Amino acid sequence: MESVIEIKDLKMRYDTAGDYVLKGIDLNIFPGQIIGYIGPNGAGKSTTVKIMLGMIDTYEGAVKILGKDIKEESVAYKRHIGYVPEVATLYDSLSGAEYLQFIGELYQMDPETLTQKAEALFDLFGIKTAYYNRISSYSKGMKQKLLIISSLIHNPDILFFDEPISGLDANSVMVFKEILRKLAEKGKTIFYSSHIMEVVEKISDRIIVLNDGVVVADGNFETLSQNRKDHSLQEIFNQLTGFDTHAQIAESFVRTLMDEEVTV
Amino acid sequence: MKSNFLLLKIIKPMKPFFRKSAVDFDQMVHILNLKLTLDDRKTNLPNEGGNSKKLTGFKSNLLMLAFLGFFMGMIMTMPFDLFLKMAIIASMDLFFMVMYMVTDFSNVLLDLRDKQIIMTRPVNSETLNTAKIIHIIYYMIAMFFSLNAAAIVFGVGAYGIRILGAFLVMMVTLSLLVVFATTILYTVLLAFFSGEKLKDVLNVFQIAVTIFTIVIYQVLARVFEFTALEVTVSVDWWTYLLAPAWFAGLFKVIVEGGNYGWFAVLALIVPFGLGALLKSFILPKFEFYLGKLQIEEGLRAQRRSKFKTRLYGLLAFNQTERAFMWFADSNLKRDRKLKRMIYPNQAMAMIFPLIMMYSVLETSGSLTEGLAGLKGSFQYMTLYLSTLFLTTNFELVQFSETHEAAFIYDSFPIDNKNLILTGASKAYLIKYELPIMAVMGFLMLVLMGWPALPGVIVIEAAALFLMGIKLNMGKMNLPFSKEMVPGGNKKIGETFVFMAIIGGLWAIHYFLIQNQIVWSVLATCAYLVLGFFLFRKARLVNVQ
Repeated sequence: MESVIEIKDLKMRYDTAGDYVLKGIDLNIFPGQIIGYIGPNGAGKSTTVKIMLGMIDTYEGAVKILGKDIKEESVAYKRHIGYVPEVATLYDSLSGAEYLQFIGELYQMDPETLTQKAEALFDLFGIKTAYYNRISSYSKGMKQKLLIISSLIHNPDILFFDEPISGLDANSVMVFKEILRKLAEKGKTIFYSSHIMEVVEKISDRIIVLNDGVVVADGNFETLSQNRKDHSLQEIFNQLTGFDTHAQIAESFVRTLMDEEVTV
Repeated sequence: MKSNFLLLKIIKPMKPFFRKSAVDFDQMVHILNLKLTLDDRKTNLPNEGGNSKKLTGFKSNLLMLAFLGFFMGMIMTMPFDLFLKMAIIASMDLFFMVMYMVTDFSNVLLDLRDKQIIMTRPVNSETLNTAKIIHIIYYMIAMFFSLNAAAIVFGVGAYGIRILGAFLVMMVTLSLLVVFATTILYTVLLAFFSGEKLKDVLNVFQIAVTIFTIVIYQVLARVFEFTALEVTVSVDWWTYLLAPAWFAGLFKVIVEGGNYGWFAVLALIVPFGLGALLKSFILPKFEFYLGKLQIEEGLRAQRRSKFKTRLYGLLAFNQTERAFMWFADSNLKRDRKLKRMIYPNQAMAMIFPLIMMYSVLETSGSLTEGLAGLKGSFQYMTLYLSTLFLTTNFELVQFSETHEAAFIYDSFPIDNKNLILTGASKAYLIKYELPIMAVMGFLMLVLMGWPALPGVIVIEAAALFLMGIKLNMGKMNLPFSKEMVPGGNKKIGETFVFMAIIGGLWAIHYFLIQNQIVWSVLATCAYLVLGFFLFRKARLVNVQ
């Protein structure tokens, strides 16, 4: 099968004299996969995603998306990708309708089809009444729903989701997870980056763990858990990232609160 | 989103020019449309201008500049050399355009949202950058015409139509100079400051531009009273270093001819030279520094100063109030929007007494005579004007950028909410009111001599008494709990009440106390004692 994303020896540092944030990553990603992309804070997850989105172009190594090197053809592939950023960055003074209209224009979509689609999607997400309101009046969940809609409206083939469900209520989360499954069935590739291990464990076909700029584990949940007695992704994650002191830290935390003697 | 912006109407027929470039014209128009809509909806910085309610953002700024420009334009009608007139006008143009570029337009240069929202879509960087450049050019031209409309009209009246050509040349070169100067300034700022620190620096610029505007309003209106003003233009070697002189020379050459050729050459060469410099050296760095904006440096741990800790401990009635003094102290120090609102208002307290005294100076012929006349006079009573501003400005502490955070007043166990207000008032007194009163009082002593000392002390005490009254007037919300609205943040009615009260205090001072020691001591004690009781029984009407 042809890979949709191909990353070879990807290295990145923000400062020419500084340390590498990414220390040589190799990845091949195939259509129809949901990839759980996890790692502790500062592991380099967001950097990888930003590179694939063309927001950073000072990396070393090669990144091919849909068969084309993104440094050589830096625009065309963006027609086929969608992105939900971790922080809800939006033009707040526009209404949801205006925002989507603008996004649609950048994709050169037909305005009428776009409006119909957008309104229907707002309705399905249960926020129909907010469509013509300013984004600044939206709640966190509503903004997140708008971001999700704006990342999908042009029917992309690859999706990059960075904490897409933060702020969504439990029911909406269920809907969203189901949407992911259906999209994957239609052959879409989903790059799902999150800190919520339970969700990643449930939805991912393949889990990639990044720690300190390198891939420390890659495979489906079964292969990741095979050689270990542990059962949850949470515990595997802790082991892979070398973190085993949560009990002691919690203990000291509470002791400090209670003015007891602290032993670390 | 409306799409009938004038700029778009002008741009749309230009499509053929872009056919061969990498720019996607339709996308560019859409991005411009977005930018203009955002400009239109941007709420203006909170000020007290009554008319800013109807007009939003950009347009109200232009109107304000046009109003200023009207006074500047009047210079054209005055009987002195064109070189000097244009030097004044070009200085003002440069100042205001650079300042507005730095403060208001920074969001165009530094909009990080574009990278996330637009660059992740199929848009090439040429398209986005062209849209940004056109947006900036449009902004510059609009500002230039607002500032110079009056000057152009009066200028054509006085010098004929040729001056119009000079203005058009200046529009191009001066705008270029402003854009380049601003970008270079930004690159330097970005090199030294990052993230929040940079925002603090921009905040200082914003406050400076507001204060400067207020001062200019006051001064410009009076410039025309200098009827006996005799000015001879002398050109020294350093005159060639002053940018406004270049443009003034340009005007001389175009309108009257004469030996100002080198200035005109500089006016043409420097902007383009800077442009070349910018393109090859500065811009590559600029992009890099821009990335730094997202990186947040931690505030350095700051210890509370020992002196302040002691002072706050001494002034607070109890521990709760002390906590709220510190709380208000930090808020007043950190809330940028609030600072942008408070500082210019406080500046009035310093400017107005000086303006009042200035009119006295004016009537007395020469400056030395006027200053001699101030010695031993009662002009220090203009300090009462300062107390008027400082007392009524306390109202502004109700507002905050993050007014939602006021939930803590309810969620914490505070049994006497009045302490929140008195605590804030004490912090306000120490941070804002007393330092300004001290500086102004000192200035009065310098100008009027020692006999003024008792009187000045009386007024300082009266300031505390007035704050006591303010705290008992009610009608105030808890500090930092209200959203700022553009226009009309201060209540006019209360200001009139205080004008009456302060008028009364002034009368007592003028007719009874004068500079007599005994009366001054009595009055000072009375104000302090009354003030103390008023602080004790301060009440908030909006809280049960």
